[in-house]
Amino acid sequence: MDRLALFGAVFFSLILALNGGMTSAPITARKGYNPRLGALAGALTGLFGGLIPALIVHQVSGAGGLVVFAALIGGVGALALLWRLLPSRDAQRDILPSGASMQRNIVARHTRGAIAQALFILSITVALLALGTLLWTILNKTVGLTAVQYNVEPGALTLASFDPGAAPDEAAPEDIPALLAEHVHPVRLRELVLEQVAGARLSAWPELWDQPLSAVLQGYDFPAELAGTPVSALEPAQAADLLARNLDAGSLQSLLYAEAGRALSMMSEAEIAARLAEGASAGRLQRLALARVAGVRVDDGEVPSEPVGEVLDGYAFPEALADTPFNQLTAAESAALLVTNLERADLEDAVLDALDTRELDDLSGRELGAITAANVRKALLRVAILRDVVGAAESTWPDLSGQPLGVLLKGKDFPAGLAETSFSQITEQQAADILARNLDRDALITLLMDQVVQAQVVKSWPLWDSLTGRSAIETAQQTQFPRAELQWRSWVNADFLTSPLDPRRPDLTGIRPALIGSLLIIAITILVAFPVGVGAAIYLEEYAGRSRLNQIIQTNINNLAGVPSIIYGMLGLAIFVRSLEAITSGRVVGGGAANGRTVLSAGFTLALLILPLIIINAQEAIRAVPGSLRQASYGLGATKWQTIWHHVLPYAMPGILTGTILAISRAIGETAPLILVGGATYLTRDPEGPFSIFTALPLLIYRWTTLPQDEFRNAAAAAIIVLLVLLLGLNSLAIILRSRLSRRLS
Amino acid sequence: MEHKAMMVNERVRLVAPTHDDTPSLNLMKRRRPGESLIQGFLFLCGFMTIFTTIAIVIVLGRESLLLVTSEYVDEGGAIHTIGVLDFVSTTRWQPHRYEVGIAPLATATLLSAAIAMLVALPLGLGSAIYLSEYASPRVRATVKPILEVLAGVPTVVYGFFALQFMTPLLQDLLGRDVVEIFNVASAGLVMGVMILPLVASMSEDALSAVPRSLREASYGLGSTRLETTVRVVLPAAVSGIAAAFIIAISRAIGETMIMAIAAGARSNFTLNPFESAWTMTGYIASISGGDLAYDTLDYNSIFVVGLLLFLMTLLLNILSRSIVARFREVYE
Repeated sequence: MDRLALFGAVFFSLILALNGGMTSAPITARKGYNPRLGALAGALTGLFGGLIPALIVHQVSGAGGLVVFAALIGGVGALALLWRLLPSRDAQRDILPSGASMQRNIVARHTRGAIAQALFILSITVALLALGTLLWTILNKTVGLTAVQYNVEPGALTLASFDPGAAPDEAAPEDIPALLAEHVHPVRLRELVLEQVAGARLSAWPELWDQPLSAVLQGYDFPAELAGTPVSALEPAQAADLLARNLDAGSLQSLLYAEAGRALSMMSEAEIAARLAEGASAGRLQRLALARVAGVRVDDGEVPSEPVGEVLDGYAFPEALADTPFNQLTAAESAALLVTNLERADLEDAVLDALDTRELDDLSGRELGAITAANVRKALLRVAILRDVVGAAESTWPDLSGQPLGVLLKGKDFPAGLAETSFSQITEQQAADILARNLDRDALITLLMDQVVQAQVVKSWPLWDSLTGRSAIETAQQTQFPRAELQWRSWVNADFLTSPLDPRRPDLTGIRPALIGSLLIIAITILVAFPVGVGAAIYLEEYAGRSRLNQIIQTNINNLAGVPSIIYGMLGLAIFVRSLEAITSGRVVGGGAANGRTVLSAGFTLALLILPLIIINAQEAIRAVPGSLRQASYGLGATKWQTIWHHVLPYAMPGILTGTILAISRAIGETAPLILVGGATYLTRDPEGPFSIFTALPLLIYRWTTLPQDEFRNAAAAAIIVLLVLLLGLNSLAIILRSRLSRRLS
Repeated sequence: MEHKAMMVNERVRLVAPTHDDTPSLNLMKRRRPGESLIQGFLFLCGFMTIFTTIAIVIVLGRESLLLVTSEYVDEGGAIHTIGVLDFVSTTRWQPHRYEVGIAPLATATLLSAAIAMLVALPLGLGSAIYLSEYASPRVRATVKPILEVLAGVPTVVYGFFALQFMTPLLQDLLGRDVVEIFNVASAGLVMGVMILPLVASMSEDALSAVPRSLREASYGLGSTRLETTVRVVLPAAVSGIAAAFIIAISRAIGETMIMAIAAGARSNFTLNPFESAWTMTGYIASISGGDLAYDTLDYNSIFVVGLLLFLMTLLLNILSRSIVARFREVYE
């Protein structure tokens, strides 16, 4: 309340200063002083006369009302005193001033004029500033930094992936060992020997790791010369050979495909440690261990040379390393420290931090297929096939699931051997293969991004903060969302325009249904309002005499133009939605919506709303047609309608169109009537025609602005940009029409 | 060429009919059913607007009448009726509790309109005077279209602006304990900004319509520009300016989206502009957001509020028009 009172006091003091400045100039001039100084003195007296008592009262009592009152009384009193007590230098005044006193009089009046002019300039500046602030507020919310968090980092998918060289069922068995030996990590290959050949459980691996093959693979096929080699010493080629010897062709093929798409989350700790030690320098890993395990950031500084036992006191480390200086740790030792001390999620994060990974965009279609097979659930793969490959409507999916692939995918690319297989029987790998064959890479990447990576905007910052407070934002992101990363984002983008609505995710939602809805509504509005409006204008300008009825019509149109839009909404609700429900819901033509809250009702309502505007604008355009044109036409024997149709209307048409476009741009932005007519704010399907339920761009803006999540405000700002661009386009069209009209007239 | 010559021949014959066997021209007005049909259709188009007005009056009147004649049965089975006097004699607006005193909505509406006028009238008139009396033609040609852009921005965008810019600004200036997140002041101030171009544009038209000779006469008598503006031009244009002011008030009362977004949604009988309060339009918009069931008290109540709104704006519009008609100074 204190602040409010002081604010009021300052406000009144400023007004008093203004008044003092303007009034003092002539008063001081009359008394024989320099009017410019007088104006300054008046302004200062008003300002401080108001502020000082206000501050005193604020200190003494603090009561809000008193503070404001004191400012008023103090300011007025100080000004009155100034004018009253200022001694007059000119003893007598002539009725007509002359000489110096006239000079002062003129200066006083001009001083007043200058102050007033400053005020007028100030008011137009404020108006323009308001427009600037409005646009800036919107822009500020449309572009900015966002913290994006991935469910699975894209790098985690691509870390170990490779191109399997063929579809899952089509790789030549004799090529597979070489491919495995080349692409799969040696540690993983040895693990595969334990897992696939020996069939050992995960918990038994550490124990089997250093035993000779003769013990581990007892009863399996292995070359005699390797009998004494421990599993941990197997060369990649040897391991691949062991796999090839013991697995049948089918298992080998699917093994290859599965390995090709393996993600970070499927790797053992041993493999992660090995990959870290190979892929990153010792120094890098030392810093990483220091930051992630001990929580000490050295960024670019020197890694401390204290012994490990001291630095990692309280954490797990091998006894043997206790006295090793931290900066002497080898890559393998640092990697082992990371693996033993970190939780799995943090470890994976550290791996992605330390190792270079490829982008999804760099992968081949087959590689993406392998990754898809390994990471996307089977049910989702099937949905993707039905939706994106077959293109079937959702309602038919249950019937399609039992069909053989030969029927379902007729004309599409699929392995010939699967023609008889039922759709419900295919494996992940086959399903992913079908997707990889039929979709382009972008579609596969989209599938992975949507289903696996699942990027989510967890927080957004306005443009201004993003530009000026980058470091503060980084700190906030690291403390609140450590696993997220900062990205620049424009909330208006191609996806925003073309995606359907998503009521929960501001970063995924689009405005397609609203755009379509708005355009459909406007189409109906134009179809109704344009002919009727122009017709009424022609009647009033060309036919109507000055009868009482016509005057009433004219007055009525002017009054209707001033009726608030929400009243039209109520009219639409009561008449189009409710009374004419049979028509507006489409029941009379069969089918349609459940009730009258449809595109048609909205279009009619907006048509009534802009009808007066169109009539008034069209009347002006018709009135501007020179009478000589009509007289010439009549003179040639044309009838009234012929004159209007062939001469008046073509001449007035650019003006009529300009007026109509301006009226339409008003209709596009109207929100209140659509709320009443019952526009939805969430639609699962796009509006399809006049008889479908609808939403519209302004409705979405309204909805998103009032939702509590801040990110929806970003989406609202983006939708506003789209709306404003639409309006700007329409207005430019009107301006072009207007300039063409004037060119033709001249 | 031959064809053209023939046509000329024919025209000549029409103008000067010969006495031989060509039929004489009937110069009486012919009945043209097509033309009459078209005229009838055009009249219907014009009459459509009358129909709209009648429909508005009937719809609002009928549903409002239903409110006072219906009996509403609550969940407990008790029957409630609403009396006409309840609207003015009580001061609580809670239709779901069968309390329909219009005072809270009306005060909030008038309060927001008053705040908007505090911004729009002085700034609008100041801008108009600057553009009409001070600005060079080039400045005027640049600034006027910009103001028109400001006037063309949809009101829902201003609502966003109020919530996103004005409310935080007020909260920072005056303290979060004083200013609620949704408040009438923020909505009213932004509404003032929204109406400003309307006032500026209409007043500027009125000022520009004052003939140059009046200004020149004033300058000739030695007046400064300010004195000419205030003592000569403004009085001459006062009818147009008054009309602009009244239209502005009418717009402020009928403005919906800014109120629905930024002014909050609770019935609040207060004059404190920093609290949230339902205005009449805000009430209509927020209550009809969902699927409003027909013939409930809520449904009927929005029509009563709408009727009041309609009458208020209509009255103001008529007043504005009659001021122009009565006090307009016509110069030739």
